[in-house]
Amino acid sequence: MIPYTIEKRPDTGVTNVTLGLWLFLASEVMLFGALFSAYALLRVSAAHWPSGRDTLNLALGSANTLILLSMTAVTWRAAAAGSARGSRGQLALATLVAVFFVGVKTAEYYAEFTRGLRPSTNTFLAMYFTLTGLHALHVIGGIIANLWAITGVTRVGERMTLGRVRALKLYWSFVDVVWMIIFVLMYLS
Amino acid sequence: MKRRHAALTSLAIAVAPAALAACPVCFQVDESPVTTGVRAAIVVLLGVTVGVLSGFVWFARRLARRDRSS
Repeated sequence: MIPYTIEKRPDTGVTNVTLGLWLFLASEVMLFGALFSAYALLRVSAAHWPSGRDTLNLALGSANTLILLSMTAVTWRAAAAGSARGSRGQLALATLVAVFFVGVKTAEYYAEFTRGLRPSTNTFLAMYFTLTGLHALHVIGGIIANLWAITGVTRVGERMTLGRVRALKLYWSFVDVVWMIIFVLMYLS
Repeated sequence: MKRRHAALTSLAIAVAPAALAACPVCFQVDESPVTTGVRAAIVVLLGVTVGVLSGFVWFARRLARRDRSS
């Protein structure tokens, strides 16, 4: 069994779960950072850059922003709950909201494809589908992790589940921050 | 070893300064949208990298502080 998954390591002051997640998030920051760098290159050097407000569905994008923020708020509440049972209910609710986010995003993609907006249409849309697609994959990954934490309560017990929920809180906060940047770059500019 | 590296680097700079210059896409060429774009991309990527590395430095300092206090 991996040590220090429940209690904090004396030298680092955090559990191995938290430390591992921070390292994972650091690699994720580099991944998205490279994409944002590509965005800066393409946007600044482009002779013409379409307006996201005119091209994309701002109402659906704003709705998804609210959905994601409320989902993360529920995850924070789940992490603040003192028991695994309490956090399980909150986490289930957060998972449902995250599924709703993916549903809205799918509907948005469908509408865009119907209008003939594809990644090959222009550089703006290529960046849009790359960034939002990768972000949506992270949301789907988070949903799977949520379900894993919910179903694992009976197997791994109370304390480990609470550690997992705290790790999920960090993960979803990161996914939120990335979405906010994407929203500003793609929908509002 | 360090002296050898320093000597080799100095020699390279003295013999072939042009070969060591940055790529012509973003160095000493007339301002073009691509040049400006590359600069913007570099600034963004540098910002991200410095941010992540600062996090690692912060964590290492935290470990050292905890070690001293224990």
